[in-house]
Amino acid sequence: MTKRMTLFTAWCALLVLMSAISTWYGWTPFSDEERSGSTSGYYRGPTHK
Amino acid sequence: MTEPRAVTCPSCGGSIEIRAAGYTVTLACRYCGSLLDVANEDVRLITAYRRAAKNFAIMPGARGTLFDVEWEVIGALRRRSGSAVWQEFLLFNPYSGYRWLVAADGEWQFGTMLLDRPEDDGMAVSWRGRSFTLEDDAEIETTAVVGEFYWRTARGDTVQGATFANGREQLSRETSADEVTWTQLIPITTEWVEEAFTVEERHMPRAPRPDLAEGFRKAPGMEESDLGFMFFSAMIALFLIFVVQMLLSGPRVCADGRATVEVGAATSAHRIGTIEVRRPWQMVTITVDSDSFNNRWVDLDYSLVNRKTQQSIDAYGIVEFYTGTDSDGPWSEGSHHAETLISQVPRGTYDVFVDAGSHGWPSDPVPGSIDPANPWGSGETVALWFRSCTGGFSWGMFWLMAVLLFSVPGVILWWRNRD
Repeated sequence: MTKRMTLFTAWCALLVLMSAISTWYGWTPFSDEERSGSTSGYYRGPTHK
Repeated sequence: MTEPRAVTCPSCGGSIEIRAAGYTVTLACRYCGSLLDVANEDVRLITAYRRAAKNFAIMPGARGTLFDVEWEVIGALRRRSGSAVWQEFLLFNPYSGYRWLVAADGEWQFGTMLLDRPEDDGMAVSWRGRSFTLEDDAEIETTAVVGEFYWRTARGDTVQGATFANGREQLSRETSADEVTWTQLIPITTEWVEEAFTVEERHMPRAPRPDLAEGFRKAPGMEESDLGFMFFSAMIALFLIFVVQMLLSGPRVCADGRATVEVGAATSAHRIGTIEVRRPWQMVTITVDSDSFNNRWVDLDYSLVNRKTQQSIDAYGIVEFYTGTDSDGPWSEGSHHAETLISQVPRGTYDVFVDAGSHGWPSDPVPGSIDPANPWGSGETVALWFRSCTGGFSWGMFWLMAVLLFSVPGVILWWRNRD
């Protein structure tokens, strides 16, 4: 296995580990505790054209 | 022997020396790159260019000794055929005449124009008792010119070039509208050329760009199969991330609730269930489905209220669905289904509340108007069915991990195939 392949395998393992830790602690940066920009404000309606 | 002659470039006024005076027909000004006709005493401008062609591995004017003859580089051409790019240098010695030095793919060849034409029989030629096999036959374009030449040449010239090989020795045939020329090319080492001339390595022509499939298989400093393994490893890692998220996000315990909201009325509060978070931290997912309204939206402000501490965790959702017709025909937008993900909910029992308010687009229904679908009702309403569950799957996190995983082999693939 080349050095670059070893580094990439370690990178994959790190991401899997980070994903496991974030799931275990119930954390995600993509939750809905804040209103998104598209749903903020008082007026709503279609964005079609 | 010829005496060098100085001429003035009619384009930029620069003073240029003609080294092979009497033989040189075309001269490319070293200052502005303009092509000059120097066959006669009156120097005539052929094509004016704004910039001189630069970035050649050896610039005209350089002198060096090869095969015991001192040569002067008097002209340089950059040429290409398909994706292959190379440089040709015209060498001149008053007693020995002209020769070529060709730089391609980091290697050098020394060329001598043949005076005796090889016998051509299609896929092979015979020259001085030896046979040369056809290797390549393609159009060659001249992309840059600098220095002086004994024939008329210019940027954009094209010829049909064929290469015949016998071992590492080659015969090159170039066919233009006016003539056919043959050149013998023999390989010479980089060390020889660098001993003779000052070579700018950074301006040496690069090897032709491999096609995508070739680039996928090969990369400098890597084993051929590494990139394939990288993509495969990224795929495995992404699958593991999916499984890990599915397994570690549980246990999944759900509570169902229902609410009815009047369109255009004030926001109303509803309790839609009770859930228990059993792990120290867990995500909570609230999904909502509505009846099939049209051109309405429902704002949903959720609150998870901890029964023990009365602390509240807030989140937001919206259900909206619109239809209409425009010049392109009928359109629809939105969904009668929505999902809200709440992260890092601590262990505890929570009552789930929602403040729901519904409105119409482009305006709320007129108060007191009769809803055709419900003529005996008090007003238009939207029915909502909620399901609150512990656990959840963050697709945003999943796709972020996918980007981080595949960006590495993706960048390597791009790096190999960049221009």
